[in-house]
Amino acid sequence: MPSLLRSPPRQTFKENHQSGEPFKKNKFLSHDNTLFRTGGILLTHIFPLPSGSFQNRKLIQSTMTPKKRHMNVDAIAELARIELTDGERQRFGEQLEKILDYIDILQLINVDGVEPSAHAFEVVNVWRKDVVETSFPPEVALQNAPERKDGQICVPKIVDDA
Amino acid sequence: MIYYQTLKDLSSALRINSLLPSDITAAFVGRTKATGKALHSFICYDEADAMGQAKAADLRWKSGKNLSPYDGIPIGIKDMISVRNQPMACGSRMLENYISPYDATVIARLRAAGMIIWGRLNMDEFAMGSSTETSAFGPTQNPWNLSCVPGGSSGGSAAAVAAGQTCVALGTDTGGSIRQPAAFCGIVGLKPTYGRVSRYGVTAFASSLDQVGPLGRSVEDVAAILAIIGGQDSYDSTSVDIPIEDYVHASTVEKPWRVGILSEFMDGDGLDCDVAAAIGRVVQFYESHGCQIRPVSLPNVKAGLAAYYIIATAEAFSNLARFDGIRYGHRSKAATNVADIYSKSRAEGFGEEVKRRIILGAFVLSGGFHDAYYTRAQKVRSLIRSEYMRAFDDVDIILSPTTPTAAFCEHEKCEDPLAMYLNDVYTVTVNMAGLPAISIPCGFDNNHMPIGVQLIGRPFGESDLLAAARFYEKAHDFHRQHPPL
Repeated sequence: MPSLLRSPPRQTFKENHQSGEPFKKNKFLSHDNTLFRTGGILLTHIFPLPSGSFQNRKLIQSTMTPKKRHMNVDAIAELARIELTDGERQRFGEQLEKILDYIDILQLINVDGVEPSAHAFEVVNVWRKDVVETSFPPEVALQNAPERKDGQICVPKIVDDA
Repeated sequence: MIYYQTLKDLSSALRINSLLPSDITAAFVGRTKATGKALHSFICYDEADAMGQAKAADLRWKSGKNLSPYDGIPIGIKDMISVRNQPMACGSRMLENYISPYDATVIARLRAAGMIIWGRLNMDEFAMGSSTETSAFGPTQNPWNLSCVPGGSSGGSAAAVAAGQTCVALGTDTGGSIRQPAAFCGIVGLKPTYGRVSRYGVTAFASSLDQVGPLGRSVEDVAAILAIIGGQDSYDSTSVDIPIEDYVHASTVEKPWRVGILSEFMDGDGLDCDVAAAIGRVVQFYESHGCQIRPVSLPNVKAGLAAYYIIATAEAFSNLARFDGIRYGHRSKAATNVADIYSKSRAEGFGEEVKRRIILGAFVLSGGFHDAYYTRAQKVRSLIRSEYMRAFDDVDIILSPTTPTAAFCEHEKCEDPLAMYLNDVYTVTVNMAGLPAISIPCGFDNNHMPIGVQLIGRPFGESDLLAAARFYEKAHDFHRQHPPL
């Protein structure tokens, strides 16, 4: 979905879902909802969460400088909605540190005044006429759903009774 | 042998009625059965469906109503591309039971040309890998040496073409996934300009880098397939409204190209001496045939791999969010609530490399790191692109090795993801700049494993690129050599 990555507006979880004080701007330290900021999209758009579930979670254990950063694999995995085994947690920690060490080569490149590019070529929006086209009948659209009933997808209950 | 004939030869045989589509298809099916166990290049195939398509093509040829010169010739399809009513697993447990409800645009165009849509070719899971070892369905073997990898992620496509299991194949290339396996298997692989080919119906890995392209046993064959699958598509807003050319004809043009040699890639550590020597001979060939050789320097290209792995994993993190166990794909039986459905289904459905990349992508996009990693990588991308464009002021084609070494052994790099990533060092920057590039066979190393040379062209300069590649191919016979299988 290139358009998602390209679109400039950035919001925080808080701005988007709650009224209240704006998040504290701290570029390299994430204590709270700022961790939901991504490249123009909200992680919360991808995986809607009950509000407050990530309050006060420390994503990153140390302040970020290229030489002094530590990835909290557990917190990131939770953001990415992947349950890791103990073995994976340990392996990923070691492997990703090594990859990040390599990636630090980027810090040596002078990018002053350079515009970031999300695409190799300029991409413009393409419009089509607003006419109805045939789309899948419900049974085809649902044929790959893991659980379905009466033309709908089944999921566990989301809202608590209380 | 029918199964080692090129698309061009088979097309001629059809035209003079010396072969029928069902003869051709039966030859590839037979070859696939005979070599399938050794190679495992297909995840699955439907023989009856392929023969059914072939019988229909027989009737068209018999009545003189063939849809194209290539009507009735099989093309293998990477498991990343939707074919209506066929499985599409993307090499993943996550989509093990998924059946595509529609044809990708490239498939619709191949069908309109009458080509036989043949099988589901193995690949690294969600195209994340350089060896086809991350496939949940088991690895593919390199036909030149069964204990070596075929490259990846389009390893099944490359192995199948090299072994005569299909005439041509489709792959996808996000950072080298067509060119690298083509080099490892001794065949031709073309990554078109970003926007040249529709991505509709192709599972997204990194949307700003992904491109579909053909693999084949000659430059002319991939040119023919590009002419069929290319062109604007209203279902992909990044496909570009620039007319498709007659690439087969264009590839026969000969001229004194100015060939740029990428010094950063030729001086780099880790470049195998056999590969360096083979590339040196390619340079000599162009020089002795009237081409000007000019050194080209792209100072920031060395940061290309790092920038690539940030951008590609960031985009993958977003794209693969759709695999949440709700609408399609694997849903964990152990899940009791919605949050569990997400995290357990993804834990069970994704393999390790995919998880590792999703986590890296989540990290580089996360609040405190976004600017230091993701935005910075995008700026490096701008720099690399403008360096390439400046280089093309002075040269028509840029030449480099496709890979630092020939095919490596199975398991050699499985435990060390970074070593695996470094295999893509010559190919990834081409995707970041959106350029077209081709890998063609140019020799063998001392273990008799194939070596590929990469030619890089200007945006939408496929005609020139194919012509320069064919000019070399015509004077050599590497592409006509076949594995001992």
